[in-house]
Amino acid sequence: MTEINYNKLARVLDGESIPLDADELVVLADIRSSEEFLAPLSAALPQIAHLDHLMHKPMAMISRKRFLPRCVRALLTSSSVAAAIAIFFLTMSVAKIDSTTREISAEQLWAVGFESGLDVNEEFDIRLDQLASELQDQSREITLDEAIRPSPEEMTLDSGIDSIESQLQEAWTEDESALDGLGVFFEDTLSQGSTS
Amino acid sequence: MEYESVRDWIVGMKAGDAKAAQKLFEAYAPRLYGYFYRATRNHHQAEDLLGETMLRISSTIHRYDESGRFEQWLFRIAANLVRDRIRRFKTRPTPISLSPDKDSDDMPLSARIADKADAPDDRIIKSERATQLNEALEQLDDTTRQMILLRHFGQMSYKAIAETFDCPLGTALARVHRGIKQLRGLLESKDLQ
Repeated sequence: MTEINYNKLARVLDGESIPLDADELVVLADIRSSEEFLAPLSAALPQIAHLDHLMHKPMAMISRKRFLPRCVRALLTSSSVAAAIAIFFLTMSVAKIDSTTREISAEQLWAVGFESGLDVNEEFDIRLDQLASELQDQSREITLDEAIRPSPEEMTLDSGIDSIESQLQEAWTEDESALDGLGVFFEDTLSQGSTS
Repeated sequence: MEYESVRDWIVGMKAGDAKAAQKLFEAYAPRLYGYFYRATRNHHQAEDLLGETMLRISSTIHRYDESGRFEQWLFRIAANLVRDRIRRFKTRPTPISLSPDKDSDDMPLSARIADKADAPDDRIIKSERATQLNEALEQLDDTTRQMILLRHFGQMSYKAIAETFDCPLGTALARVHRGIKQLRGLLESKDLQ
């Protein structure tokens, strides 16, 4: 058999009408049956979450980069839990998460807040289930639905937010693997929060 | 899938109609997810990639000029996201979930059964075959594996595959053909064991 002219066969498979000789027809048939051989790939897939769920999935998982400006804005409006989220986010960028405990003490948060120069002026004791339920409330604000049509306020940031955001963006790019872990962590935390 | 509907959804999405976007995503999500799951072998990564693809489409739909097939444009974006993710995870340590079970690819057999209309024995056979095929796919090089998955899930033309991977047309087909031959060989040798 002469060498296979794959270029010609590819054009036929893509729909062009090109005359083929007997050998080429044999190879073409072999390629077509080979493609059928792959049919099991579409079988036995895990069930994908219903798309509604995905459209409203917590922002940490599908829209992490949008979490950032929201986090910053929440911090500047001095919402205590939102501030904790922002600080926690910063914490993740500078330290590995402690996998043996799920509690973040107020002292740790204060320390990071002060070190980062953020103005944290409320004392709080954050337990992750409380954080989870509040984060879940906030996560409803950011869905894929919203991402398709960003609100006008999302599209403009004042200089204060810009400044903090750029600091967080630097942390993001330096330690993206920690932030991937954060996404998983939030998902775990949220599922605990939703069952409590 | 009616072309008229797809075209309407695309037009609607370009106009900022979230319902049209959702329709479009619902139509393509199963195939995209199948591709991502087979490419990453991880349910969470596959869902994550699905979300990222949706966001990417949302922000770049205005660039789709409707001259080519939409699904080829869509799967080209998907392929680039998979390639970036594979590259990223090769150079960085793998993040560890605080709940390792959630990231496990060990889905119970009942969850892996997609076609509930099959008889139980058929389902088991399909599931085992899919597992064997997936394991054999791992033995191929990244590019060949991606090309095969895109051909299967994305139904991409060989021209589109060649453009995505920036290689000659004949090379794209040759790689897919040889890759599938290799898969067959691997499965046959398993069957003989």
